[in-house]
Amino acid sequence: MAPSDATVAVALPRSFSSRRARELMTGYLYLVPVAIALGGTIVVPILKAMHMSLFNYVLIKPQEYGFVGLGNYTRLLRDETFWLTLWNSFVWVFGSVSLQFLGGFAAALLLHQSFRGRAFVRTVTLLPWIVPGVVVALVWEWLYQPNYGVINDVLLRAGVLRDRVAWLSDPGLAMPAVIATNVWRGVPFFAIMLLAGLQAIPEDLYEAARVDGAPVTRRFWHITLPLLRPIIIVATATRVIWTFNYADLIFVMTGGGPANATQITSTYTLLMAYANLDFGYAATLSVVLLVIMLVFTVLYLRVTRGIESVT
Amino acid sequence: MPLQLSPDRWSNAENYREVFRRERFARFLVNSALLATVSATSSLVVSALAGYGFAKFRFPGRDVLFFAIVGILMVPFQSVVVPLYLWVNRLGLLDTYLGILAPDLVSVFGVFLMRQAIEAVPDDYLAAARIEGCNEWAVFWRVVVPAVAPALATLAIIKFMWTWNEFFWPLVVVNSPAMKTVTLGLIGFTNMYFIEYNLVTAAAVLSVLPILIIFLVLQKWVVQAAVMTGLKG
Repeated sequence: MAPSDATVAVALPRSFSSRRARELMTGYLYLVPVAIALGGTIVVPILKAMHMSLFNYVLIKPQEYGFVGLGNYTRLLRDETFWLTLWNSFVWVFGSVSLQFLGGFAAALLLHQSFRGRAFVRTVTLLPWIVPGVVVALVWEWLYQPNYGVINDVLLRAGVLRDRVAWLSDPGLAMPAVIATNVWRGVPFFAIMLLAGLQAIPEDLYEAARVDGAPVTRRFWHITLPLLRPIIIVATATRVIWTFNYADLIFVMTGGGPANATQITSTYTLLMAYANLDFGYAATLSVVLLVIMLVFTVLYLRVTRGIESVT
Repeated sequence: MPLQLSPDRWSNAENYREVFRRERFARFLVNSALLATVSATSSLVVSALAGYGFAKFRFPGRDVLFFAIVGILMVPFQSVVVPLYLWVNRLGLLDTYLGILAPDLVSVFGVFLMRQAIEAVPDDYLAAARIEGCNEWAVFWRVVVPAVAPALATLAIIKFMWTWNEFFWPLVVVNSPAMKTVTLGLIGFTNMYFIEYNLVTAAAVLSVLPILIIFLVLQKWVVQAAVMTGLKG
């Protein structure tokens, strides 16, 4: 009968197209959970924060709630504390990341050598990285403690200091002190990343260079550094972003004090939201934080010619 | 008094008992362990599914979506904390496990990691499984998941540690002592008994110990995680 031929003729393309459609659908289906979760906890909140930044919204002053347009942004431009926190953020990020990088690089080069007990030392190196930030903050607070702290004690005994120093309550010393803590915490990260990079460099290259009589410094500049470049770029970029946003350490150790000496923009944002309950202004600050990170990422990727070349 | 590293006497077990006596430290430990386990599990599931979708399927907008998700890596938590807090409050989730977990249920890094891992699984494996009659779900569970087990282990460990170390969000969401995590418990304990260094340090050790044990037992994976993340501290 004719109809049976007809069904066959029709069925083939239909099954083909429905399979294609199903494949498309399956692809999207796998993304549904992540889309819902990220949409709900990040994308929509960001949009909401942008919206909130246009309102005067102080939780304890509901009678003053209202649309203020860009009022919060002009307030921000005139807010001297904000500009101070921005400068502090720069010092905090630059100081932390550059020293972490140098320390991590030195550690990686050291750990790349073979010596007895290397496995053990490698393990220990990673410890500061896995300890919760809050614990790091507390322990270092004790180390810095003026009267009982180990740091003062050791420096007094060594004759470096004549008087006890209040590390975390001296406006000039507080920032270097919290940076030192952050450096201690971040060195392992760079060490491990760079060590992995070092281990991936073929030994032949060094062998060849040695045969050609290249001294150790030349080998470092012409082999080690160029080959580590991709890792260095990724590691420093992620570290800058992370450090800029990181608040726990400062939050616990100094609360941004003394007199905002260690107040960075990210802790300032949390302070506005959490202590002042000024949600409108906190939202404004959070939008600014996001913009700064966007600008940094784009510039950084342009300067270093893209993350694609790296992965 | 001379400088010394070792204690005058080793009676420290008493300090630990005292910590548990004064505050509900056992409860804090259980809370943190529970939250970290759930967040690690849900991140695993969500990331593996998304990673599979991104790595092995072709559909319009795939690369844009992936790029957008990776872009989320640089979003500061501060940028979402205020709206999240308001919603959690409105939904009555303050002081609940779900409220504490809300921002931790997925891991952007996990999606990135799983896509990389699953891309390395040969397409032939998947095709062979389909020819043998596996349905889509079976392909995922029986072929893809076992093939990327190392990456999954790495993600689980790292996410567990991140959630355990979480501080600011729980601080905002938790009010009652019963819901405190270890980090909150430790801060509270320190503020309350700050002169009693023996107790405070005992509490600090307690809050690091589980992470330390995980680290020592699963060292190889943690190191691998450290290398692969490069993304968070």
